Amino acid sequence: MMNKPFTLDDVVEAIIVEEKEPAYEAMNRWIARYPHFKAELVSFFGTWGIQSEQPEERQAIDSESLASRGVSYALSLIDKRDAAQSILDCARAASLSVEQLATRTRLDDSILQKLNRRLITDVPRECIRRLAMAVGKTCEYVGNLILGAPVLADVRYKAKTKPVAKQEDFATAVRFSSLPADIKQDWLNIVAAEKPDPADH
Amino acid sequence: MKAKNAVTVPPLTSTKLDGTPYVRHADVTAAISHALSLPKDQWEEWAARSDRTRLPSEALVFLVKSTASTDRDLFGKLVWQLNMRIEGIAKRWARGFDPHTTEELLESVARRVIEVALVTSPTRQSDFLEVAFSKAVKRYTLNAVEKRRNAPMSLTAQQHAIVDGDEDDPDSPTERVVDEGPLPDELASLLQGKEKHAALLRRAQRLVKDIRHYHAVILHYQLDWPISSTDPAKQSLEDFFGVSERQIRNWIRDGIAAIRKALEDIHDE
Repeated sequence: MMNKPFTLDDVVEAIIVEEKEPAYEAMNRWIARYPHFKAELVSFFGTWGIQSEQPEERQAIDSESLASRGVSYALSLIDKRDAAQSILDCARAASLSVEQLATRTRLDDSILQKLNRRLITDVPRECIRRLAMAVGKTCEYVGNLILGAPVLADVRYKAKTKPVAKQEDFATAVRFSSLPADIKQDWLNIVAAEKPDPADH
Repeated sequence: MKAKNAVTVPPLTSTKLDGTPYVRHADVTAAISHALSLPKDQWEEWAARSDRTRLPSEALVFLVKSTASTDRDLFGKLVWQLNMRIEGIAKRWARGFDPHTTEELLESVARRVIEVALVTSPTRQSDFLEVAFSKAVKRYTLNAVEKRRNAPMSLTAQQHAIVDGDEDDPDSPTERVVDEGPLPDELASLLQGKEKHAALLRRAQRLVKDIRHYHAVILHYQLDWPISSTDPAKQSLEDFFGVSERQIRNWIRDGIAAIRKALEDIHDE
């Protein structure tokens, strides 16, 4: 089971499940439990209260047109998802921010940006596995996105010679990252554990 | 559902706030299992039914997700059905707006639901759609209404003039409001019969100079919100509207006056 930190969405969802009505006492009770969401919960309960007291009304809604636009939007989401060219595109298509992807994979922004441009070599399988799980793709799919020839940044260069993107190995990227020391060490252990034993050759 | 037709349905992977796992209702799991044992071309017909035998919405979400990357045509048809259901639920919680705004709200809710449903890595929110679809749509609608709360209705020219004039000094007593309004009991009896007095209340919402004045009346008299509170554990209208106690009192007087005016107008007709 996933065990992620609770977000406002999670709390609001629990409120909708547990509370039948937007009672004033219920609001104060939930705010006492989650005081850091006080402003948001006041807004939510107030809005719920107002809407629950709205009299019934009949409005001419063009349901078919609305549904058609909904289908177009859904298809565009699928197209974007399938057209992902990089790991961060892939994350966006999966409605994940860079921060969320970093949290789920225990990587940081610097490593993710480098992976996105294929600037890291010797990426451990565990890293690929975590990325694949986070974006809902296979390891093979993610491997194709992050491994291979580096992607140059989309800028104009004045130099006469074509710039060469500098690659570094995964362990180096980890050492230069902003990850906490314990997570760095975990990754270095993983790299060491996955490193092929010379005796095997 | 016959066991020989049963197809294993993958469990949900998220947990609730209390740590217990999200679990689909038995009828939803049975419906998904049955759907997976049927030819896919029967799914749309099952989803489109309007009687009690129709596919549960939570199962429809599952089928939408399962066709997203495999069958574009069927995916589109199922999303259409899903949109129809979203509209049916969201309309209840998106009342009090002009038709154009209502349609925008409904569209934004439908988009939000499909975005959540199509995440590639399951989240609490995506799993919740398969557990309690109506409640999920209700909360997304309320979220959408929250965003619109300060611009809920098209104002009449008269309302625009009054609101614009009020902006210079929001704390100034409203000259237009000349009495303290009816007693709370009298007001409560009107508000409590909201379906019986629907026409009157809709008229009052049009007459009020800013819709927040009507909302202040509702929250204060119907839902017992205090105007202000010195107890940090008790929230107030000051917290909700972010304006002073004095201003809210003026708003409430205006809201009450609008309801009384609506009542007089209806009696005169």
